[in-house]
Amino acid sequence: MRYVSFKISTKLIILLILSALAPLLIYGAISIHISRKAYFQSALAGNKQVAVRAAEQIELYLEKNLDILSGLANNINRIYLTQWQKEIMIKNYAINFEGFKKICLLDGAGQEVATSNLEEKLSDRSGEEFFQSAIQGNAYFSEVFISDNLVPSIIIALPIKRLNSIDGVIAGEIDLSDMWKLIDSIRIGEKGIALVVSKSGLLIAHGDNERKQDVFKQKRLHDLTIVKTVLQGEEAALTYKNEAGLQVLGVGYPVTLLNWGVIIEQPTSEAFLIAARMTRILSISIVIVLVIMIIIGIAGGKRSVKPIYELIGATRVIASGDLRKKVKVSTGDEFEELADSFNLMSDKLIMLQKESRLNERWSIFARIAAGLVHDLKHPIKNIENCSNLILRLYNDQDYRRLFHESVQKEFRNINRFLSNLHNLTHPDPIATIALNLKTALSEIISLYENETKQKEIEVKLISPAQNLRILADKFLFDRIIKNLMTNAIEAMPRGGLLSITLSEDKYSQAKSVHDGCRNSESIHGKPGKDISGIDKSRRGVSGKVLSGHYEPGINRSSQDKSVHRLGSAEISIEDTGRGIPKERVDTLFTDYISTKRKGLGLGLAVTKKNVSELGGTITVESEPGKGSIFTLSFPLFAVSG
Amino acid sequence: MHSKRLVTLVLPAILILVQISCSNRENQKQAKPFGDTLIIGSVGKARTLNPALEDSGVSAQVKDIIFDGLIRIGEKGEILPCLAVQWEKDEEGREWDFHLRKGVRFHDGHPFTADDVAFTFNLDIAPNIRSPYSQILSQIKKVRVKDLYTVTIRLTEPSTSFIYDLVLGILPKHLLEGKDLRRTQFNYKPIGTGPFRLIRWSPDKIELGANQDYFLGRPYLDGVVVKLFKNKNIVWANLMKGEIDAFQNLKPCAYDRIGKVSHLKVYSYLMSYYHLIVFNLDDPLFKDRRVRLALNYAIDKDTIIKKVLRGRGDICSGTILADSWAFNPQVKPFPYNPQKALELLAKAGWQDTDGDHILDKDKQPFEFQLLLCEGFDEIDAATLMIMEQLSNIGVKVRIKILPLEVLNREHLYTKNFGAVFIFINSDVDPDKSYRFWHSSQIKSGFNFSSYHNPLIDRLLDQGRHTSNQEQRKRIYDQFQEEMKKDPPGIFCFWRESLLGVHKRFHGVRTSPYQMYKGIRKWYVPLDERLRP
Repeated sequence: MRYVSFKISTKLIILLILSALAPLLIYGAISIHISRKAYFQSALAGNKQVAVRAAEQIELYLEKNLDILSGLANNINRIYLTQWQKEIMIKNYAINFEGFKKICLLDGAGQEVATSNLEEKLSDRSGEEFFQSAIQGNAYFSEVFISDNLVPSIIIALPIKRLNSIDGVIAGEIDLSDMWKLIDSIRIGEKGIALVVSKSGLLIAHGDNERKQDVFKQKRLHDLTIVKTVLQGEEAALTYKNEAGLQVLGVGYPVTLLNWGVIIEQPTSEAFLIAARMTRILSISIVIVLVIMIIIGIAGGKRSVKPIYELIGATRVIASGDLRKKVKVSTGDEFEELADSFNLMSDKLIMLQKESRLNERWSIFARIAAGLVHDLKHPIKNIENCSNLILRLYNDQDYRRLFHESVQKEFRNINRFLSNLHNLTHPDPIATIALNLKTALSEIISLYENETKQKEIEVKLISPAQNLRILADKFLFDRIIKNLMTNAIEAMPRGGLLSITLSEDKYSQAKSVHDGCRNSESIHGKPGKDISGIDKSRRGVSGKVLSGHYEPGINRSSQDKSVHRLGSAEISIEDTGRGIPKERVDTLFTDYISTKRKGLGLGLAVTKKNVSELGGTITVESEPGKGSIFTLSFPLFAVSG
Repeated sequence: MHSKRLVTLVLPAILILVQISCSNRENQKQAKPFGDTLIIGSVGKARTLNPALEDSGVSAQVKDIIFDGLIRIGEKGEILPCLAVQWEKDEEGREWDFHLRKGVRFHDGHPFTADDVAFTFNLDIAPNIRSPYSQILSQIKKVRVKDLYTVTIRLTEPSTSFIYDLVLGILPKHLLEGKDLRRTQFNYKPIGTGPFRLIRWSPDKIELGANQDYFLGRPYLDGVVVKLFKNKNIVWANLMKGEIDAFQNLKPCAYDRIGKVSHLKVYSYLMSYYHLIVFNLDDPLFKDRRVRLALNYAIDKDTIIKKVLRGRGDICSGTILADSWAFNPQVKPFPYNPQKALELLAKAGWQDTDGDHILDKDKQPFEFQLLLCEGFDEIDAATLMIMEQLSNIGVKVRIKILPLEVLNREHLYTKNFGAVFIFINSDVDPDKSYRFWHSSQIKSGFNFSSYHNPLIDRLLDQGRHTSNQEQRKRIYDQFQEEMKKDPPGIFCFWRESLLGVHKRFHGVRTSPYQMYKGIRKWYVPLDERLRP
């Protein structure tokens, strides 16, 4: 699963769109649906009304023709008329009611008595259905048939009654294309038309001019669902593809008199025009609103989250240390408040920073002052005391010697302190030589012989390895060891054991053997020769200068590399003094500014610095009351042979 | 040989002729495509396609596009050159010189020359043949071939109207010389110079193909087929179905319905045929001028036009179309006035004495038989109304409907009738009335009614021989007045020809004076073409 994370602005836009658009869409969909339904219903209802009216009119049309015949039947019977007069009357009816293609008067036996035809050939029609039905006393409508003239026609017939008995039949053939005018007059909208089908599904009339010729082609529509339904005497309403392939809304209504059907067809595109138009308008407006909202969302979202970006930027600036960074937001909302708070915060930060700097300075200053006082007070006090005594005890030979020693000692202390102070801030340039550790250590120990004897301190140098060498500045190295020894001696005012152990890190050595050649080469090749002269002249140190002056830290990595590959030498200086309180162990090498200590304690800080300059490390283990072990580790310098 | 007493065509049946023309369009020479076939529906039968024998019905339509005359009639009744390109007459109008078109060939490839013209106008037509050519032949004294393309016609009497008869088709001498006109193969395989030539002829249709070399340009259509049907209703149904492309005799009610059918276009124009019931004046019943006047008053022509023609016609007051220069507007049609009719009849001795609602005189009822030609629904319908209207004044009419040939042969030509409902071509020139109403035309001409009015005779003679237009106008004005005073029958109406044509045909023009010849200019745009 992958989760996509959006920016806040995107989230805002999505939220905006969802919260505003979703209801809009739902509303749109519902209203479209409802309106479609409503329009469908109203179109349906309207068209159905037309269909009903059309069916009525068709029935009226048929009944009218029946009435005409019946009127003629009454007249022809009521009065005594000559054959010729009957003929004139029938012909007159036929010419005046033009739907009648032919009218004929039959006697009780089915023999034509008179016809509207101009010719006088009268025939026997007793065998025909219309006669047989009408002579029984029924009004007769034939099924639709195609006449000799190729048009759909029907025959209607009526019995002629005289004195309650039937003594003849009057019949008329109606050319149904006469009904066209009626059908053509039925129009819905622009394209809604009516069509009429007979009982058998034969197309009788079609209101669509394009399809009128289908009537002459004697098209049968009985396969259409709507026609089927209507011919079963039921009304029908559905949409379908008509013969011309057009999607239409069809409403059918039966013409019950003759089992015909009238169908109102209207292209759905027109019937549902309003609904379609409304749908379109609604859809378009939804799209427009959507677009507007997206635009507003994007613009507004960007604008509203712009302060956030500004705040983010400002935070970064502040994080990088520039507390003066200010955010400008004037949106008048929570963002502005946030920005104001932010600005206030940064102001306060600046103040706090200033304050804390000031405080720090003060405290440093106080501590330095205290340290100075602490470190210098003792020797000065000693000197003062000695000076006070010297006047009185001037003649005391011993005392003068003591005075001399004491004052010397205190000045040494003061010098050492000042020198450390100086060293801390102004490091001497270093000139490295390959230093035999055992020799160097022995030399230093011998320097303290008097002092240790005096303080009953036994000094042991344990050196299993004979020829361990490191690359170091002799002066610095001496200072480190001296510092540590002085501390150790001071830690044992009542005597003790000071053991100095020199050892080699085996693992590193094994490695160094392996890589030895190459590394020595690289050390040979790389170092600059330029400064060697300077160092020689300044230091006057004998020995082969293999390396130039290294600024601490700069080339450290390459030096480190060679150190590790060559293995390292470890020097541990162990005393049995009072030890160091636990809480101080961790910051032992750094807290010369710490207030927890009375003096400046520059010694160890300087030592640590010097060790680093020589590419070594220093660690301490201590148990209060039992003693401390300082362990130094320097990269070995291997000389072949 | 009475063939010199020449009578021209007429007859009910001639109706057909739709005048479709495009003569004015000739300058619009945009590229019209060739192709498609026109199927015309028609009622009746064709017996021969020889223009010298047939003057009516389908034959008359078809021969009109197979044959050409020396002249043709333009859309507005103007005379246009056809096979003759130029002509001159002497001052008197007795001798005419015609300069013929060169390079014209008959459908069989034989060149057309002055010999063919001379042959045509020297035809010896037996008197028992009622030929449309009789009238003109009777007027011609001599035809002389001046050279291959010039012919001189000398008339028996000077005539100004003679030229109008020259629309009659010129026959090919090389095919007809020495043949019996009535039995020649030519009658069934006509060869003319016209825009279409006969391809096939079966009982139910006549197929014609375009004459590719027609001298006025080949017709746009590839062919014309005339399909024959039993009656107008069937033609109409076939037109609606799309089985045929054109029908030129729609019933007014059908015309209104057709107008709504999308694949058809309808055209109408007033035809130059006056519809009238002609009385046989040899019949004692109609001898009395008062009786004839009375019957004219008894007919409500306005109602007939309104009901039968649905207003698509004009009331008729005489033999000259209102469009014509010769028409006399002073001569008003008879108003419908049955009282006046009864008065006139009473004066003539006709009254209902026995109370049977039928007039009688000398115990004889006023009863006559009216003959109708088969297939003309408007006439049938009008007749129904006329019967009823006449029955209102106590006149009994019996109807008999006959096929055209039977009507002509057994009744009109033999004057075996009481009354007949026909329509007669009024044509461009009023001289046309000569053939029908001049007493000289009684015996073998077209004066079927045996109308004899000395004044009318004199006026018709004068009109024929007078070349001064104003004088002629006065003569024919007087002719029309006299005709109304002494009507040969009941003048009923002028009728519109109602033409329905498939909408793909363009260039259809209608005019009372041009017949089928206009079909030459019909065309179908490529994308609308229907029949290969």
